[in-house]
Amino acid sequence: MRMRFPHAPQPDLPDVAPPAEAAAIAAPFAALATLRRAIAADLPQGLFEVAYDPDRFAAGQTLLDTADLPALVPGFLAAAQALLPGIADIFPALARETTILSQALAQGPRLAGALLAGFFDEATDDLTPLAAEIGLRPATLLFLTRELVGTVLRAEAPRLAALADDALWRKDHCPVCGSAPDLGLLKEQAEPSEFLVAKAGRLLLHCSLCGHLWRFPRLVCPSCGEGEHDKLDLFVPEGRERERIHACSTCRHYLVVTNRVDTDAAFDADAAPAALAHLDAAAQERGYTPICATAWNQFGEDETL
Amino acid sequence: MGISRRGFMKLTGAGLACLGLKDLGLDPRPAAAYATTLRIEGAKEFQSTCPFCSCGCSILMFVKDGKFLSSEGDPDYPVSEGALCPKGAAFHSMHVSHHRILKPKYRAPGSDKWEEKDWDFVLDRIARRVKETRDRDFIEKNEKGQTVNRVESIFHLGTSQMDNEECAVTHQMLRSLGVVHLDHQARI
Repeated sequence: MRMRFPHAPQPDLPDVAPPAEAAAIAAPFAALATLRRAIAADLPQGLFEVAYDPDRFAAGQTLLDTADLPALVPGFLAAAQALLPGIADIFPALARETTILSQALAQGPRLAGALLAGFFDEATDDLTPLAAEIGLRPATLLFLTRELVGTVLRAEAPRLAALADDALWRKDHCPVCGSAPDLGLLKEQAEPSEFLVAKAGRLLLHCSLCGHLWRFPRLVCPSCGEGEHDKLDLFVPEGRERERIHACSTCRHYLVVTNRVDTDAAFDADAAPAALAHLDAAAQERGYTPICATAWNQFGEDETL
Repeated sequence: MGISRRGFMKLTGAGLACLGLKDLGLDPRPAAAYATTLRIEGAKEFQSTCPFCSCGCSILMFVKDGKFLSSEGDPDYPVSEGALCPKGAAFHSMHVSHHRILKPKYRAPGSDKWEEKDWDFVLDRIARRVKETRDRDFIEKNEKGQTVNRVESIFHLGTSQMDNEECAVTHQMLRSLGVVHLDHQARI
């Protein structure tokens, strides 16, 4: 008789919906993630070439590192036409500023190149001078530029991701674009042998910019590389055992992680981080800082917990 | 112009001037208040090695308040990539099993009852009986006059719960005594 191990959902790890208290934060970011993907699907692809060298890649050169910024401009402008009005609908508080940026881009498409340069180029301190010129707050311009770049990269990420060999890349930043992760994901690997049990959750990091998922060692801090098990804290809320906070007592950074082992429930990795904002609040209450600063994990000073 | 990773990290790292929830017209207070109601206790994950066979698969152990709560294969271990055999998968069950004997037990000759004893008693008893038996039955030469240095009246039964190091040390100890009858529980 051939023996098979039952593959049933772990009874002690039920799928629990995000708390109602976080819904007001989760919903608009979920809508933004959906919109970004829809726009990315219609963007022109293959706008730039990547000079992929496995040795350089293994040494830490991201796939986008060799791309020319001007090649991103057409996608950036195309994304702006659809995304900025969409952001205004999702976040009415930004309606005025998205209109200003839309008009600025329509009147001077060269602005796109300057925004991309300001976003990517380390020689440029930040987008403050451009923001003043356009009449936007620097933080808003950064947020909108990031969303636009993220949309353009989402159109290219599937093509580039095929080159991003997990065996060559176990680093704390995205192999495609080099950005920090905003979410960790535990997921098992299918095991073909009927004699083995494979329910170990591999840690995948989700890129905060392009949405690419890449492997990272589970017992290493993705912020500072701390590998001493004693210094890596794990926080799991009672009754929400699929939600985790991986924190490091050495660098005091944290990453929210969701355990997707043994579940096939629908899951949107782009929308999930904002739906876990309550974990961000809990981690910050304990004195930790997010690895990746995002709008949904900035609670404001008077909300300091 | 190429794309700089440092520039990227600058833009996505903590501490950067970044729009907050309030800037987006969202109220952070319900989520923040909910976070204070969560019962979250710190735990640790430790990497250890499965003791059952020479594969030496890596296992992650979930520990909370000093208690070993669960285990799973280590997905970053290059040989098994997180997969475990049924014995390795039952690592935690073995640890917490109510069948697990935590103290030495002794059944006297002719008795049908097990008694709990301390380690000093059982170790002394085992050593004494092994010495008596070996001194009595030790065979230095066989019928042909060849040197054999063996004891045929002691039998050792191993177990699948022993790790490789235990097996190696046990084997060396028994061979040094001259014990030739060794077997393994899994063959019975």
